[in-house]
Amino acid sequence: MKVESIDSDLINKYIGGKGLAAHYAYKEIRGGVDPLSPENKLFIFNGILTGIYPGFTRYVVASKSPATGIWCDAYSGGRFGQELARTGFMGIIIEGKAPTPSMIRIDGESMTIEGSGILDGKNAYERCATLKPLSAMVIGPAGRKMVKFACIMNDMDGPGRAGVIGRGGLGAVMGSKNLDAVAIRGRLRDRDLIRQEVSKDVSATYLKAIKYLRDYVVKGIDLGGNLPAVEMSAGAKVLPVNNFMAGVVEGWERLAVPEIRRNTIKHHTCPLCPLACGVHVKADGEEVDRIEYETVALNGFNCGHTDLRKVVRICRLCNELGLDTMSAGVVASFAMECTEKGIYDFGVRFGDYEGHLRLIKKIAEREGVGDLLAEGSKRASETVKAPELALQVKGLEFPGYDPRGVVGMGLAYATADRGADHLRAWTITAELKDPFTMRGKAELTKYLQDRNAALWTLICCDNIPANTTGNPEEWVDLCLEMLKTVGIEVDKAGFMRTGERIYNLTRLFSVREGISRKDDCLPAKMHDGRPDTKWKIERGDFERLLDAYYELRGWGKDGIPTADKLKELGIP
Amino acid sequence: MAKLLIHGHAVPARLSKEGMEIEPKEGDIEGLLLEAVEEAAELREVLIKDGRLRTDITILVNGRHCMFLEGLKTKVLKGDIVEVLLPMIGG
Repeated sequence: MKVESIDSDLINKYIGGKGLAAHYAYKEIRGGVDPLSPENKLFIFNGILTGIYPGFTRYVVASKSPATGIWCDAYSGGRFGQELARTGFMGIIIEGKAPTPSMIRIDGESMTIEGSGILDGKNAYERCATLKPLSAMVIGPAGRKMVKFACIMNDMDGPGRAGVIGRGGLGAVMGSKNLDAVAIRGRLRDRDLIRQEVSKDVSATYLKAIKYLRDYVVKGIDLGGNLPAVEMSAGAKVLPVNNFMAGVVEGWERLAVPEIRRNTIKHHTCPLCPLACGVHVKADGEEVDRIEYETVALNGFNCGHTDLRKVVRICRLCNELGLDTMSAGVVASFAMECTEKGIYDFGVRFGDYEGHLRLIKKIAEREGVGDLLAEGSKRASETVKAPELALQVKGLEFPGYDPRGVVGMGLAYATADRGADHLRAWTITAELKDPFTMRGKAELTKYLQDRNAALWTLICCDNIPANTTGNPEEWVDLCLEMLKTVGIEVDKAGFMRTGERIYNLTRLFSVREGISRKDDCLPAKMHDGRPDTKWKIERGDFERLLDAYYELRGWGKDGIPTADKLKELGIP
Repeated sequence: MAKLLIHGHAVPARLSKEGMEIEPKEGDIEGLLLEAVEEAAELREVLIKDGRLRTDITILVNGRHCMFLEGLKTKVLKGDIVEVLLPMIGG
């Protein structure tokens, strides 16, 4: 282990979180390395406001993804980010591979790499419990087996809200390094994170942040877990149903807010945050500490289930095994459609609850058909010669919103820097200057991608701009005020430019791996009329939208940033 | 007649299932929607904001997003199906 300092120039250019991770990943991961080889690296960073302001206790993990072979960054709440800030470190970079299963322990002044025998045979919840009182990010059995959509989980055993680094199979990267856990307890107190001379400014800005959250975001969060999206998606007919074959299903109300509220036994929060977004549910004896829209939509409707007890059990099982519930749901629905259509018998059909549970266990253990599915839906679909049934972009499975109809989300999925992702640009809510034109849609996608890349350098909770009932730009302005209190003065244009710089850098990382326009595409199913509504995205229309987007980005028609754009952004 | 369907949370189910039959007098999407508001007062709070058509809705004509056509000026013909999707939160 060695300690490095970060140049102040780098902080000025990339601020923290996503920006620093992108800088180091581009610089230190050689193009073409196997994501599961010792040459790949794992970057764990917090943000410059972490542990100081409400909404800033998250952390990022970034690496070359084994699911996609390109850039991947994923974020998690809970206590770990705050505890990382208390260590006094901005981040941890993990390189190489341990000879035997190991864990990193940072406890006060002590830093060790030690055997992880105490975690053997334990699931993710038990591992976090074993490592208490330290806050730990752990992998489960699926990470050890290097399942391509294994996740990293933290603080699974409370107190407070648990967190999941869900997307892109970063748990498999940890597994490939024989790293079972990173457990930390910082040496600093919360007040040590704030310089004495600015504590009054921080206090004043802190109160403004709390007021914004209470006035606008508490109402938007509602029950939490983005669960109100069930009703809205059903209303707009964009729910994923049976591997995206329909947009709404009879009985969807059984997985909607009133039913989940009736079965909610607790709410959990991250440290410092007044938003109780963690929804702890117990339904007919099945219990899970944290359930969200994506899990419900992709493992419920999308797999033929509308029974809350079943979805809760599926969610808990994925958590225990350390599987991303989003990819797990889409991989399972792919297997179900293949089986029903007689393409390949994965032994499970839509609505087959027991078969679904068996499939999840087989995937985590890479047993039988589970070994094929553990590679993710893209590779599995190529093997069984049914690529049209895999709902993925660049190897990352779809989120739980059907972009047919809401085509702007199709552009967002196709151009998100880590593969199919709905959070880099949630285009469905915004009021547009130019709402009914391609240019307006492309502008919005680019703006949100850049803005969120900037916000994620601070590792701001994405629930805030996504769920506010107020103006999300007011929150961005408040973030700039917060930055000023810690000595970073940047105006809105400069902040947006930082986001654009980062988005271009992550694109360059992936271009180096062979990504270009040919990969910024949607699965064939999106171009076919959906059976229930006939909605579809015409291929020609999508290509025109992509042209408008590339032009705004200053990228060539091949989707590669031009030399002029890179020079303008100060990317060497 | 053209058919208008409106999909969204808290919108009466009949507007999403059966919809409304409207004579496309003005000839384009904007005209059709304003005509629908005239015919059914309940649509005013669904489609109008600050005295004009909302700018955060998605409009499809025969399953195709209107941005690929002529936007609000897209011609609506007899037999066309115009669908409006209301905005939603997500995450």
